[in-house]
Amino acid sequence: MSAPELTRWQELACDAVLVGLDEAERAELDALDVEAELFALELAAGEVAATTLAAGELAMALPGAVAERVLARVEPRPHAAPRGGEVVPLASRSPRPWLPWAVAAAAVVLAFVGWSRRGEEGRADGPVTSRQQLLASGETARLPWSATKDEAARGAGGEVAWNAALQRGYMTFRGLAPNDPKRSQYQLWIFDAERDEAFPVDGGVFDVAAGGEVVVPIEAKLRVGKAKLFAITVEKPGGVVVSKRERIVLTASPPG
Amino acid sequence: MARFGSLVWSLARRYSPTPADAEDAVQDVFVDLMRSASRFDPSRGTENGFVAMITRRRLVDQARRRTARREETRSDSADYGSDPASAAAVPVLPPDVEQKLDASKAARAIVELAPEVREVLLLATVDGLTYAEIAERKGLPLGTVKTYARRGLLRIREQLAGATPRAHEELEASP
Repeated sequence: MSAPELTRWQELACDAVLVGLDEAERAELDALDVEAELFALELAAGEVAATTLAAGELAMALPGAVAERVLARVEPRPHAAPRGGEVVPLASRSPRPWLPWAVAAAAVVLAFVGWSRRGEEGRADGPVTSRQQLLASGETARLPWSATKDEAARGAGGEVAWNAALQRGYMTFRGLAPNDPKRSQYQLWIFDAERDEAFPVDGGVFDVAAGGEVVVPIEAKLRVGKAKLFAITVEKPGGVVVSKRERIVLTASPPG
Repeated sequence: MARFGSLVWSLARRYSPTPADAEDAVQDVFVDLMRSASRFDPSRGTENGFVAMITRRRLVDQARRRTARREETRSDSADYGSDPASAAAVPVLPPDVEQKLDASKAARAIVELAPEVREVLLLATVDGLTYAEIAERKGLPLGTVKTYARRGLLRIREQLAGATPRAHEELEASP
């Protein structure tokens, strides 16, 4: 590498670490194949930030409410990606080994929140069968979806089946526009009469493919005391912690 | 999260225009940390440095995307009115922070930087300011800010990794 080339890569690498690059610059840096050096610069910036924050007594405690909401989103969960009307639960997070401290940190959070996930794992039946069993169990509310004027909801319908005692439920959709998971995903929010309306319970992120009726299990990340509204929003891939509610496509609520 | 939550949140609040953006970032950072933990090598740095690296990587990326969308603001969100802890004021970086640094390798490297280089580097790495924002705040030419920031980062990297100085001399030759 010539001196000018070396200088250029250092400029690009430093800028990538300090302020980020635009697409053209990123492509230029990637072509230089200097990942190890870039990692070293990133680590140096990380050490500077961590050391200075500690020295300057600048640390801010992570608010408990934020920790709870972040945990609800970070925790592994199944998630549905239907194909041709069939609901296929996605695999849980990769079983890649974590460092002991990372596992310990996650365990502390689980203890902190004190809420165990009630997912689909452990149930051998598919969501269609599980939904039928839930409906047969009694005390399961069935609430029809109301479509908004959002283009994705044009002609869409279906219902929410929610059993408050079991904290389980399923959503069915007909005619909801298919999404491109790389661009956006649907996300369920459950408004709980016993919680601050500003922070509805995250009910999970899911995808909809073209054709057929879609059945999606509800994955409430926190206990829902009294559900007063179910709402589907369109969010960035992976979902969000707090929705800006810019695109609400479907809602369902108990009568009265 | 109990161990590193404060570090991640502190950086997220400094880099993000609103508490809501910071919260989104924290979520992404912890997912990143779980995926990247196997890359942590205690011979190359500290746990806090590694966590800060992963955090900054995500925050810089988010800031870049915000800029691209031309939606950048520096005001707090009213959405967090019911969560005052989230909307708490972000403490200002003390001008004499170098006098409070510990005896760690990173701290020594920071202290050894020229004051003007150190100040620019800290504004970029700790406060998440862009080159243009630093230039405006310090009344320096944009090119000088870039040079100081890059020079400072390369120096720190050399000090931490024991690398042989290379082309940074050319950067130092420029203003």
